[in-house]
Amino acid sequence: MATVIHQAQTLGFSGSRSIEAASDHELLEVIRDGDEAAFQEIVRRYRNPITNFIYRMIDDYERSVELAQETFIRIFTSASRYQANYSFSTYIYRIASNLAISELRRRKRRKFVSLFSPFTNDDGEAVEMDPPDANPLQDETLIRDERRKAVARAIASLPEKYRAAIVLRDVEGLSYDRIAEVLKLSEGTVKSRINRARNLLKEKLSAYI
Amino acid sequence: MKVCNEIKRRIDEADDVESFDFDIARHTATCDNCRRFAGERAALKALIVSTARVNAPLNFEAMLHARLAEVKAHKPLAWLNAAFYLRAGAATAALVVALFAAQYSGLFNAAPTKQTNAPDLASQAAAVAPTTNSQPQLPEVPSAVVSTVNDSARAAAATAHLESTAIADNGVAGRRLRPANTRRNAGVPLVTAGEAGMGDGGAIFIPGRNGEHDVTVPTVSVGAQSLIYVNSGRQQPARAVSVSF
Repeated sequence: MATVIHQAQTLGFSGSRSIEAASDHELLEVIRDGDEAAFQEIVRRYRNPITNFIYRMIDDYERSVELAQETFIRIFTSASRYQANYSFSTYIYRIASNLAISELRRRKRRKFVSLFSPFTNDDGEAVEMDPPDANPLQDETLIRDERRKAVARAIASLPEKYRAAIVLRDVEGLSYDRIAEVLKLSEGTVKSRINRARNLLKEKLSAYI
Repeated sequence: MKVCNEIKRRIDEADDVESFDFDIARHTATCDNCRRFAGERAALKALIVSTARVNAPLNFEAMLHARLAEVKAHKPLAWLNAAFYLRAGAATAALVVALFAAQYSGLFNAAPTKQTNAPDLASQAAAVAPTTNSQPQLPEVPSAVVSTVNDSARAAAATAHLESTAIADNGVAGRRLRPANTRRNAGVPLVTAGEAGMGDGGAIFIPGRNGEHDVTVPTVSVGAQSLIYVNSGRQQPARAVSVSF
């Protein structure tokens, strides 16, 4: 607590303004000096969005937690190299996106074969055979769970270049220009990929739409 | 149809799939295809959003701090990993290849010391060159010249040619004997006063002229045996011993 107060004073926060009110850039300035209180604040702000984003990308909760932690470790260790050309959220999503894509490629090289996905799509990627159950379910919780799983599987079956764009747009709610910055693509390419991803999702989730 | 494509594109890119601009709303009111497209997009977006978001576990920060402490503990030597050795090896190999390429391309042939040493050494050679033919004298070869010859045959080549400015700019010092100054005796080129050259494959340099006497200038020796020596005189041909190391 003393550290938090000290850093708040260092940052010029006084009275009603606390470290919680500091902007991401201000916190990064302090993290560069190795301050862990500011780092904790960054973690508190972004741990859930980053974990959710990576989970949507790789569809593996345990691994997504590990990669989210790796994202924050990289933020801490490379804080001195951070340049405030973009917003911090763009920066952290870019790191998380790169880690998630690397994980997907590593899995692809190892050729993980799921017992539930012996089929491949036109792009050569494994898709899960999960035909929707036409029988009505009695329990609403089961229905929601089934729908959630179907959406997760549908997103996970997308090619990785479409997956990152659609998750950032429809799950995380980022704007097109922010997504373009995160993925280092042109805005037109991002729009094209999102459109293509939605068309694929519409085919996979036609039973739920 | 073109209008429909444009409307669909704008529907797809809209931030809010429930409320569109006036022109889109007016078009979808009359176009079933575009209205269906807008409905599908809205349903898809709602389906994706409705799925529960996952959150980080409760012990996320504790796990993170444990990993961070581990990273800090290994930080001083963290750069000494396999990737570092791989990069260092690749950089070394690239440097070696670049050096070989530069050597083969002749980048290192032009020695700047030749131009700087040439005037001084040439003046020393001129000092020992005879001015008259009547009194043959045993030339005294300057020790500096001899040592220069012993040190570097290429550098000595610059000392011998009195009329030249700097030898071996093109790296073929052995071809600097000009035909006008070269006499032939049974096919053996004679070296006159002030002339020097480099034999094929070996360096032979005459710092001066000795009149009727012969001068043997050992240039390279191993133990007591001279490997390269030079005879210079009026009737004596210069002897070139090709050497290679």
